[in-house]
Amino acid sequence: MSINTLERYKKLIITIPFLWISVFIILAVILLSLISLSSLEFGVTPYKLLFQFKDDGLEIKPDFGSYLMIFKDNFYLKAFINSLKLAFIATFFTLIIAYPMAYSISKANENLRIFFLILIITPFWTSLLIRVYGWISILKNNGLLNQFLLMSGIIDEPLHLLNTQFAIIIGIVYTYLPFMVLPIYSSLLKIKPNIIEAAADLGAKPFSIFWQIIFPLSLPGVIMGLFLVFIPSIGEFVVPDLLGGAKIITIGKLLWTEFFMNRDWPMASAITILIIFIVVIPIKLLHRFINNNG
Amino acid sequence: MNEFIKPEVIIKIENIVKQFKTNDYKTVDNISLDITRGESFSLLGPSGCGKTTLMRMIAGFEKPDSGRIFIDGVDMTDIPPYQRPVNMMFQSYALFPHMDIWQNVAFGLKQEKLPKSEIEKRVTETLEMVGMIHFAHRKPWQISGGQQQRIALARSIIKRPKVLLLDEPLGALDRQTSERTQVELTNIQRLLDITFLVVTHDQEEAMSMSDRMAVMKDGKLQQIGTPKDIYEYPNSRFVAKFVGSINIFHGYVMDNSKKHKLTISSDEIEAPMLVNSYESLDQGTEVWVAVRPEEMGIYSEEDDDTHNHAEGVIVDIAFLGNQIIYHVELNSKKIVHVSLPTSARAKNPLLDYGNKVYVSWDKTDGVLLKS
Repeated sequence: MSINTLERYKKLIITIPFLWISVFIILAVILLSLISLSSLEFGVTPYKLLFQFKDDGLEIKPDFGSYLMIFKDNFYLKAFINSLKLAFIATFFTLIIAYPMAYSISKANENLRIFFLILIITPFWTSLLIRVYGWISILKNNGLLNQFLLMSGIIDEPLHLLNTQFAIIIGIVYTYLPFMVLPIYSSLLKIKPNIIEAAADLGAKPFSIFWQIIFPLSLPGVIMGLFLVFIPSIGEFVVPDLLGGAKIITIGKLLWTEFFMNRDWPMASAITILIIFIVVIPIKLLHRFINNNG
Repeated sequence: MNEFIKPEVIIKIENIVKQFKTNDYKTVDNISLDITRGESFSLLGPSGCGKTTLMRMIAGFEKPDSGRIFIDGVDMTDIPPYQRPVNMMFQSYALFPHMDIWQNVAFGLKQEKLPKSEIEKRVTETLEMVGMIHFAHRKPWQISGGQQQRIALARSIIKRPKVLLLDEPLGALDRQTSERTQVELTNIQRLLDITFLVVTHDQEEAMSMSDRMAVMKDGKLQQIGTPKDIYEYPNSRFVAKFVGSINIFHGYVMDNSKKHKLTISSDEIEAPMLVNSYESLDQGTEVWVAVRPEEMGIYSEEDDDTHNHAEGVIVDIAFLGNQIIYHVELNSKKIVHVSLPTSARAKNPLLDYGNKVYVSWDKTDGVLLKS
């Protein structure tokens, strides 16, 4: 193959993801922002676009109503704050649980390693919805967990677990655990054994080796994992809807309600745009971190 | 408890055996070895001979199945690496990629919780010693391989270990850098008076860097001695071939009547060979006679009777710069290598392809090998 044809193939290969990103992400975001600035209307498309062609030409009339509403009404703000809080707590616990898992898998022998990795990926073969439903039967008042605790005499009356923030956190941690384990595992695996030996050789005890060598070198995986868990859990819908009950409001549920129940597309779009902003800030921070640390 | 260990022995290895679970042979097979304080000692052998495993057991990264390791008179066999008074310079340098040069070098001292001013002083001193003070705030990936090695060296000597373990210290460097590094390593060794234990598969590296060396094969020590002794008096064909190139003639003892001399008959060479031997061997004993290429000469006629000689034809000439290797095919079809200074060729028309010549060497030069 000549260099020219190779170049042409390269361009062709790059074109596909480029088109994909521009159509499904950039175009979608543009569309969303346009809808978010439109006004609500009853009809087949339940909004009136912000620009209309009239007899005297193009009329642009952006409607900031949805955004104003979000900032004025505590209800929306509370949902945002609650979602962020849940996402923070759940991401933190995911890290606490995932790191030791990733660490022990990376230290296991090769056969065991593959076995553990399969165990971690296996739940993906079942639908998320069904898996979260499973948690209902574990967490409900006469569910598995309460029955076990009652039987073993740890508690006298069933704990109210379902439809609490706690249940949502458990659900998110459970759902997103693999997204934290896998990147941490892969960055732990990349640490060369002789670097750890060098640290021991220079007098570092196991505890120091972990905090001075292993943990810092696994940071890229940790950060990747934090984002893979934090970002989707902000807008998570299934888990808070099934495990959180009606009283706990999150952005994901709000979005769903605005879109499907209230048919308020501009409002749903405005919420989405705000979520994107919330998510872009930490990504920017990550970018800066990577640039500073090479 | 160990008063019988003489103070000049810094590392005492006693009957060390190590077999890895995945192998059906012993990687280190009952090795005992004393390394003297202040010397530069090399473990030389082909890959897989167990030299690296032996070194890793001294560092504490592997545990021997049996046997003991004493460092400066203290039994270190069950002591973890972070409590051993030895440091290692890794073959791949193993610098900490997330730390800059300064932090890399300071790492060992920080583990000892030394005062900050003391650490600062010693890191500066050590970085100056290896000529890398101006690179203190670079990251390891921002400097060249040779520079990385200096940092690895600085990091491993800053704690003033009783023994510095060097794993193939020159292996990854180009020839020029490697020659310079070799001199620098030797200087630093003298300056700091640290015992060096070098592991290498490169005989030149071992010979030029060490006061004594041990040749290893299949987990066993083959020969221990000064580089000169091992080069001139190898004790087996393996050692003879591994340390430099050599011509080996197979034969049998024909006459053992002369004092300290044996006459050997060989099917590879017509005339019987005479070789020095302080041991008298029975007639008919199978032996080998080894002669270094530089001990041989090429002549137009048979030499006097102080020399052994063989008739042959020059079939190949390999130019190596300062010397030329002549490949001479003897009448028995055996090819011997003769090394002569390059300057010899210009003066001597005999030294050309296809010429019929006599290869000869002094009767005191050959070495008798029994295995």
